[in-house]
Amino acid sequence: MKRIPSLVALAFLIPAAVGVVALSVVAGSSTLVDLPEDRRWDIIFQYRLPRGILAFLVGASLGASGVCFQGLFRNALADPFVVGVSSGAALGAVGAIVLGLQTTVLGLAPPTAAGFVGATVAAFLAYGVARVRGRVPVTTLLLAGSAIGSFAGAMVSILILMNSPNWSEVVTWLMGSISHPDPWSRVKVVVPCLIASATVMMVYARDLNVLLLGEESAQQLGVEVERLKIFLLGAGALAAAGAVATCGMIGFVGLIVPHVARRLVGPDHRALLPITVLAGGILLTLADIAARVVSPQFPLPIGAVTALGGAPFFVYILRRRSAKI
Amino acid sequence: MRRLLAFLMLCGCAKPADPPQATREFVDARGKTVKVVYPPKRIVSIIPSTTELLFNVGAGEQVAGVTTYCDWPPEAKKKPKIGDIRVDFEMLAALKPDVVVTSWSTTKKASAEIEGKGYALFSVEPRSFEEIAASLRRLGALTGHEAEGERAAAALEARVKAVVASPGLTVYIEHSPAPLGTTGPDTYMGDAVRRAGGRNIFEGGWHDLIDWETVMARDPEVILIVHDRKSGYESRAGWSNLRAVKNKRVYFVAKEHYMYPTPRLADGLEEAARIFREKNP
Repeated sequence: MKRIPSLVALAFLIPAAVGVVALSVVAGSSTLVDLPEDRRWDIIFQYRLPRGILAFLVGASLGASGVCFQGLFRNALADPFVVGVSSGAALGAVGAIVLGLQTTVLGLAPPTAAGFVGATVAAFLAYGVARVRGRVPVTTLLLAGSAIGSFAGAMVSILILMNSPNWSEVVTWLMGSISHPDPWSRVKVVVPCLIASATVMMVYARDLNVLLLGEESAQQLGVEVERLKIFLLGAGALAAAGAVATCGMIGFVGLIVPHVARRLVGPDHRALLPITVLAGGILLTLADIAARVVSPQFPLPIGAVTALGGAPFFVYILRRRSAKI
Repeated sequence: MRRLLAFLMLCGCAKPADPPQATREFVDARGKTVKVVYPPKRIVSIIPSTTELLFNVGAGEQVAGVTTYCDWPPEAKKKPKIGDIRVDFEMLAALKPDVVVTSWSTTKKASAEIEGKGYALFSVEPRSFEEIAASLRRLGALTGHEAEGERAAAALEARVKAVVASPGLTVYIEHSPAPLGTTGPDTYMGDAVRRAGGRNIFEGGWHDLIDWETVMARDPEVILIVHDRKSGYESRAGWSNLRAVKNKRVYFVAKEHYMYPTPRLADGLEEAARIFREKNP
């Protein structure tokens, strides 16, 4: 019986995903009507389509990362940023911006490359700090991540204060933005991260379910818990890093979407993961469309849009959870 | 000639009559009457462009303090620093300035704070070539270099007048690469480009954030890159199909020629006029 809602959800969400990306190509097309045909196609295929796809993929990555961490930490308030990944990425990217680094690494823009390095270092650091005698208690991992996040956040603040000429780039990055003159280049970064991390998550989806019973029970049921944690931490961090390193800190998507998806199809990660990925993509694409429709001239930072809508939802979840207790 | 005479007469009657610590009242660009020790021996400038203007009118020696961003003329870099965009009041107090010179970019709150501590604050408001010239005259008068202020202002006016505009071409001024930002015609930078004949594809003021799509849609005939990023443009969406790119009319200009409301802006104006005169290859 459980399969039916998830199949129905998939049957609904896949066309919806195609629909919102198509909508994002059409949205605001009033300016396109008067243009010569070749310019119109340039805008559609080289700018709007990749932008819509980028928004979708970034939302999907954040959703995947969020659901992975919520399962791993067994904590409803975990999101892609909990293990310090985002602050690490922020420190890397802001450092690259402030230092004015210009050279591209493996074809990546300096803030993106440095963001990746920062995210990876933060995740491994959190894991290393939390590791005691070959075991990594998730609570310690959570706290270590939070400490590393605070530290990196403080460093970011200092960097911002040190350097004002590039502050607008820093602020845009910290607020998260989909708008970029070259969206395909970002798509190319996000795609491999999402595919790799989502594959790992799907492979371990069953183990994630077992993990919900608690680590000891999972161990008794034959799950290699410590190895599972490494893979899930790595996958969640990779998905978040791909999104954050390219488009900056887009908050709340990774927190909200797993909860919405759980309401749709229940807690089974085999269904929950693909639904979250789709729903995350749809949500962020819609947020991007909303941002463009509300403010056609001035590109609204999408992180501000998601936080604006996400914060009330966060409060709602908090209220519901406390009501249950 | 009459101005010069007036100036000589003024010098003649003012100098012997004034005791060394005499003060004089000036009306600044805000319309405020500012009482200043005349001639001021210790001037602190809290804006890079006002530092430059002070040197332009020959008051460089009297400049006692500048900001860490004041890098023009090169001598300005050797002056003691009183902070960056924020004034460090301890350093300011140590310099005991006769007058603090600022510009429109200082907020009302910051101005009130400086005045609240008892400093004479003199503001110039250069937002256009006319106002740059006016600022030179004001600062010349304030610092006791009236003739040099007048000379600098007249020289600027003559340069601006001599520019032959080639009107008609549409232009996109890229002010910042990330986030993508432009400058509209309502600024001195935009004004320089407009006077040279460029038709800005954007309206409005400073550092407006824009979406690349709008540049693609409006397809400018000329692109002026007024920042330091020199590479990475080819991968932008639709770049090679833009008219300006096809016609090789993307220009990487020195941002220093456009960024400051000082006589250097005339360099930008002349450069832009040269650019707009060029024929498509």
